[in-house]
Amino acid sequence: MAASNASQQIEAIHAMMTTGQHSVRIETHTLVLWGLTAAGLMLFVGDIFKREYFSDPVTRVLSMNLFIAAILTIIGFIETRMTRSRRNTRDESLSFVQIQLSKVWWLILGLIVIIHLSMQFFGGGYMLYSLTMALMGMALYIQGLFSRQMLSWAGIGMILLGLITLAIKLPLQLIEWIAIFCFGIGWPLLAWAINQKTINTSVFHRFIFTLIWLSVILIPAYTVALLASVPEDDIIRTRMSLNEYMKKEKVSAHKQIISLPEGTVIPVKLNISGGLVEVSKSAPLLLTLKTETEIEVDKGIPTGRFRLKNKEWQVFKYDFRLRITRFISSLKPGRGPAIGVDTRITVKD
Amino acid sequence: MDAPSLPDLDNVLHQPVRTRIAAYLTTRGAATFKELKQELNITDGNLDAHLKKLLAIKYLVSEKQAVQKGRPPTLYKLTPEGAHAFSEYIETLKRILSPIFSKNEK
Repeated sequence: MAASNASQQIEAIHAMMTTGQHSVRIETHTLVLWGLTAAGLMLFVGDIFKREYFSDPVTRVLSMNLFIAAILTIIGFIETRMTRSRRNTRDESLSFVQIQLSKVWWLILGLIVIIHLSMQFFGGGYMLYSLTMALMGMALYIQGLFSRQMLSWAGIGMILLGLITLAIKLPLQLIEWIAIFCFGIGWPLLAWAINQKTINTSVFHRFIFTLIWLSVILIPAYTVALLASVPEDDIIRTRMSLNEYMKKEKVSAHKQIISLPEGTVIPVKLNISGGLVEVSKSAPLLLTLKTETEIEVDKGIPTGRFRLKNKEWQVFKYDFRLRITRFISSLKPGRGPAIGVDTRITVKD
Repeated sequence: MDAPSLPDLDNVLHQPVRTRIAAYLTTRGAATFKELKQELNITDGNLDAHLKKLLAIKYLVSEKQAVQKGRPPTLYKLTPEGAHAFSEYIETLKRILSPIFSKNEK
């Protein structure tokens, strides 16, 4: 009798301790606010801080990151006020664990801003969206350990999205849209899901919801990325060869497609600053085009869209990668000083 | 009505509702009256009576949470004495159950 009583008590204690451990509640508005903010930043920051608006690239980068940090701080402030207000209304407390988890969220957000800033100076920008998804997924996973398990499932989903998009080298434009839909649609949907009893109690329902959740992110992202590519029929009508284009005296007011033949020599103007060396004007660097390439120009300025012979259209910002793989300096007797730079330029196959 | 007491068991904690309150607060840290009521699924009067017993023996402490506006909610926390008593209570339960576990192992 005593043993049976003790056994029941142990079970009750275990159940209540587990409930206490998973008692951290994330508010609906938290996921909606942060999700929409992240998606909005990804969508609009590039357009707000265009290169042509800034003469100094450093000023542009610093302004952009200050802007992002300011937006995150404002949203963080609004979110905290809303959470406290809701808790007071419902006569609920903010637990110790919840306050510590908020600090983890802020650390991860700060880390993403620092990574964004350093990528602008040191390169690797194509990893930004994948890393952001993986890091925010980690934050969701940690939150889920003390809260609804669905958060941990979504967290793992985001970590996998981040890692897989990098590992299989998806086009940057598609990764960007996956991240935008993940935060802009996925997070508000998650906010709804964590308040659904069946999803929280049944592993099967959680699994089904995770599949739906991933589809809601991936299918629209793929569709939008596809639609964002250049509609070929519209531009074929204005195509001309480089020779024809060179003979024109005036720049056209419309968009044109200029075809550069194989073997076209392109002079490269190097701007090197820093005060140590300057570029010699007597020997320009010349590059030779190895394959016929079409370039879209608007009022005489390349728009960033290009196409290799018999290939699909590509966007310079997303599909053109330039990597400096090696930098060697030498000073040999009889030959004098020399600098060698190994550079690899890749475009989408 | 309290559950029948067992040898060496803390009589205040050896009551299902009070055991659950202590267990919940051990991992949760602190909770309001409303949160405890929701988790335990009992009436206001019942919860109030059990909280008063735990407060009287100083296993629990209540404090007002600082808020900028509105009525400050009352938070209930385990005191160090309460946490120690709860830990001792679990140990005693384990001692009671150990002969059964060792028999099953054999």
